[in-house]
Amino acid sequence: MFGLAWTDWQLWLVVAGIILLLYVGRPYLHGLFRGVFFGLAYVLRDVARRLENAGNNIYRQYIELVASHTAETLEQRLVSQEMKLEKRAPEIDRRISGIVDKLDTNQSDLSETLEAFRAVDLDERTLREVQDSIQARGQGQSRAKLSSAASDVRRAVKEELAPLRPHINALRSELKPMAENITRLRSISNELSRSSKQINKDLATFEECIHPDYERRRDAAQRQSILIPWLLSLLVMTVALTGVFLNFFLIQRPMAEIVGDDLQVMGVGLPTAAALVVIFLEAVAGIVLMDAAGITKITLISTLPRIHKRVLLYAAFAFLAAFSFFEAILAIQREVLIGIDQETTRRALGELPTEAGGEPGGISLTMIGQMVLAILIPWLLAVAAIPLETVVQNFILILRLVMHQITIFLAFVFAIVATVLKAIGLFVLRVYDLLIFLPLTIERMFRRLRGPARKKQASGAT
Amino acid sequence: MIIKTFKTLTAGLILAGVAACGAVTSNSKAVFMLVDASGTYVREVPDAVVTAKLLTSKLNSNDMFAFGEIGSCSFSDSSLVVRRTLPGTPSEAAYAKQAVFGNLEAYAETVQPTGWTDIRGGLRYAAAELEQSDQASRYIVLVSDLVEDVSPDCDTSGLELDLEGITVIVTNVTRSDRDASDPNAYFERLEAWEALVEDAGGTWVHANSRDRLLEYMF
Repeated sequence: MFGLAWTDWQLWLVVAGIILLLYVGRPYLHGLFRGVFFGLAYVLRDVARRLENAGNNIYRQYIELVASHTAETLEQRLVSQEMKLEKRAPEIDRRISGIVDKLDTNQSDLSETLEAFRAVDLDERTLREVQDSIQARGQGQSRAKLSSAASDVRRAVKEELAPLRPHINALRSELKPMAENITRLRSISNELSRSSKQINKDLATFEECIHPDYERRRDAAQRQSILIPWLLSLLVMTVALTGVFLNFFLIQRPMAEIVGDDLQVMGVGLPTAAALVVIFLEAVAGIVLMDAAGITKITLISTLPRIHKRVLLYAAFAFLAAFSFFEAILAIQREVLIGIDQETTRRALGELPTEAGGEPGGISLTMIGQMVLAILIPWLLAVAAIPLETVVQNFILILRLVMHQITIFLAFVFAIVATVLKAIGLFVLRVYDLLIFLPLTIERMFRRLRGPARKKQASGAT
Repeated sequence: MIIKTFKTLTAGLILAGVAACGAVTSNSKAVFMLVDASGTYVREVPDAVVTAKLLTSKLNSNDMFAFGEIGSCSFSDSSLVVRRTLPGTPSEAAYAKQAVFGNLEAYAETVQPTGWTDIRGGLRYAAAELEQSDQASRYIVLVSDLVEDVSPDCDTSGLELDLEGITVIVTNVTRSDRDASDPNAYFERLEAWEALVEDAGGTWVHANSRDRLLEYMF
């Protein structure tokens, strides 16, 4: 070390000098190390605490948003269920009244049957008949006499029961409709029971979502799934976007007929840009239509007065109808253009011109197909506003959740780094003291010796 | 009438909207095709006409196409076969292209070999024509063996050329019998013309086939 061997006394002198220097500088260097490591650890821990608070706030906001969104959805559902029930109430009443009327009729029929049954006094009459028969035949014990008495009894019973037969048949025919009516009543009862269960469940969740207690709101919000509806909506949106692409390719080429094809907008051909603008306008009209109809709540249209919404609804409908018409014309134009271009290419290659000579022909099946697609796609784009709402809403929620996770993770990382820094600081201080353990021990011994003398001096002074 | 007004309005609105942002650029092309009709090359003219027709068929509306002949004294209006700026709509442009095909076919049927090959005169004429065009990109498509042979009456060998902003594409540069015995002469000829074009401020492109030519341009 320093070009000196371990056995050289100069080296030990240097080491002793360094130890002495370290001992002298101990209070200052300890302060420096404490300042650097513990200060940094303090700052990082503070950052971690702030991040954790921010993360918790984000989560709280997320919970509040989910709870309020769920409450809003449930409120709408409950209102619509109430309206549906109100609308269905007279019908249910009518159905129940009809069934009850039928049951009344069945009951009166049954009462008549019952009276007829009551009129039958089988025991008394049959007994009297048997007794009369036995007396008429004297006191004989012969088998023939008994069998004759038995056949008399059978005949008497038969005669007694004969008037009951039509009633039994009537009873049989009444039982079937009665059972049917009872089944109907039961199905209505089940249906109403199901509805009431669902309403009760929704109402309970709604109450949880608007509960003043945060914990209750959080529990209710945590039960709501945002990922699955988001994924489903994304799937539907992807399908809708495929429609957009199809639409784009249908209208891009004939758009050149309107805007020309020699200009570019930010590197994109003007027909392409124009086709995209038309698709965006269709999408906007679709969103306005759905919002004005009250199906979605993407924009602030849902907060407008009813008359304004009605105006916007008609305007959006008219725009979409105009776009459908416009796209149908473009579909025809597209076919015509393809025909002309094919003719031009044929002529360029020196092939003989066709009979049509490049002039537009009649309406082909392909053209009809394209027209149908062109008419339908703007409306399909409008319907795409429904999943778009869920996609946007749930995406914001998912983003909040991700932000929460990131901030919590960062807080964790900062806290770990702070702990590590503090530990390193402590380690450095211990190592420092270890290096100068000899002067430190001497100092302690010296203090121990001087401690009682100082105490004595102090007590003597007082 | 309503549809036409609607079309005009839509186009106007879209253009006004984006032009205000300064983001609208033109991708229109002006193409001048020069074809060597000298005695040694005139047999290639029908093939050049097919190339010209294919090239024209790929042009867009508002593009310009011109076809000229390299003859004894090419800097002359008589060497111009057809010059047409295509209309603004694709359908009308397609009909205009078909009309151009007619002109080109008529030329191919009546072409006569010329005694001399004034390539510089033709380039100067094409450059002057292209200078007057409004199109964003300008091309001269030169279909020749690049063997210049000027007549004493029309000596353009010292002619100054200004090809600034013009791309000169040479294609179907055939090899003569002399080139077969001295292949270097062929490449030296190409290099000499490349240097000439680049010295004049132009961009040189050698497309050794029709497909390469169309691929480069579109």
